[in-house]
Amino acid sequence: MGIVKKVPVYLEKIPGGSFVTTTLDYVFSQSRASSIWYMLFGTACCAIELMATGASRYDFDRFGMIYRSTPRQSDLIITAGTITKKMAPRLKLLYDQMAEPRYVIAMGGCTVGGGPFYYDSYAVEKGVDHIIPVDIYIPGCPPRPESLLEGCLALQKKIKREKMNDWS
Amino acid sequence: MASYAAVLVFLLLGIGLVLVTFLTARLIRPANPYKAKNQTYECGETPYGDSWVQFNNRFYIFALMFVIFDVEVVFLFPWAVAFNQLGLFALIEMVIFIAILIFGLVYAWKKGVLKWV
Amino acid sequence: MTRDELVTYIQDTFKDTVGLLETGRAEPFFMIKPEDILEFSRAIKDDPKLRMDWLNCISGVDTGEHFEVVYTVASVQTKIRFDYKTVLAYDNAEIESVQSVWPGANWHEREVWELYGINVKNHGNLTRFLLPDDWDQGHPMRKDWDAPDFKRMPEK
Repeated sequence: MGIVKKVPVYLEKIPGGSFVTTTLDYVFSQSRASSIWYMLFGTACCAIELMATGASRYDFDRFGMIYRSTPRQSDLIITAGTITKKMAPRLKLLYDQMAEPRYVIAMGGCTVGGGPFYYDSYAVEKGVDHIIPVDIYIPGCPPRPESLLEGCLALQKKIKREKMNDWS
Repeated sequence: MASYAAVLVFLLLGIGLVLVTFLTARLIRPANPYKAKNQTYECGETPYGDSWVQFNNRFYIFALMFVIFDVEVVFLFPWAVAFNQLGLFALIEMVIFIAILIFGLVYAWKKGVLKWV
Repeated sequence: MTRDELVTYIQDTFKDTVGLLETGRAEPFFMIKPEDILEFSRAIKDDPKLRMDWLNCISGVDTGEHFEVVYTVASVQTKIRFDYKTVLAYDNAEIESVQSVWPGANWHEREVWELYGINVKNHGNLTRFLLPDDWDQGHPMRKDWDAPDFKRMPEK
């Protein structure tokens, strides 16, 4: 990766080089956005809506999103469901085991900010952004499949804005 | 001799394709290894115990049966292709061959090898 | 048997130990003293007319003034179901384990200890198992429990 990190910098010094850079930005970000493979991570009720969104009526596959069971092969983790304090270290390890570029969608009220468990709960981690960095928040209890699809499309828009200079 | 040059070209192209794709991917993709990422995957838990476990030997026996009958099919293919030019003798010989292997299959079946559980 | 028959049968068989609570619910709800729990549980399990062989659950309650432990029992054979409870004071809350009657009480009593701090005698394995591994903040379901990120629902 060492070579390619410096390529955009040198390319832009050549006259007309920024045309190449922006075209490459477009190609890479479009390909990444059109084929986001999400990890099957469902802990509670939002998992049912996740499954419903992946089923035939509100299909995920038409957006290029298929599910993978292992974090090694997935780009996206949709935290569908309440994350308790006992589950938090496991979620962190799963997120760590995903390969870059990786994205997180916090689905449902519990992961956004505690949801119905914000008051009077000793065991729920109130907001999954205490554990992993989140890209898209989808409120709802549970969010309807259309909502989840809108969140995924918003993530696609976010990915399409990425530039080669920002790659880690 | 000249037709073998085509084989050499295909061989080199095949090796070249693999090398080019791996090299390009290695240059383009991000690489950011750290300790937690390189840990063995165990559904989020810290890995526990040895991963070298003893397998049941039914896996080996099934693979062995597959190899035997696969080799039988390899012998069947040229015989089937040249069937029209061969005479009665080749037919009887092949029937004897298949019969010997079917006898082996019946033996394995009776021994209970084909029952998976 | 109907609800009234059940109530009269239990009140006749266990005259002193049982008190009926008027809750208005379909199933009868009795009050027992803590020291009679084990004997009462064994008796209702062995009783030929009741045969309560299924412990549904053991729950702990913190009412703000005292602890309660509620036993919900049912019978697979006679289709009877009822609850009974004991009341324990806050200091030295202790009950006897009913594992010898229903082995399934093991985890329920462990949960009651873990969340309320009610000691269970003769249990054998009172360790933390529902809460996270590094939990050191006490017994969370008590009314006087607090933690930095714990918020109670505000009064309207």
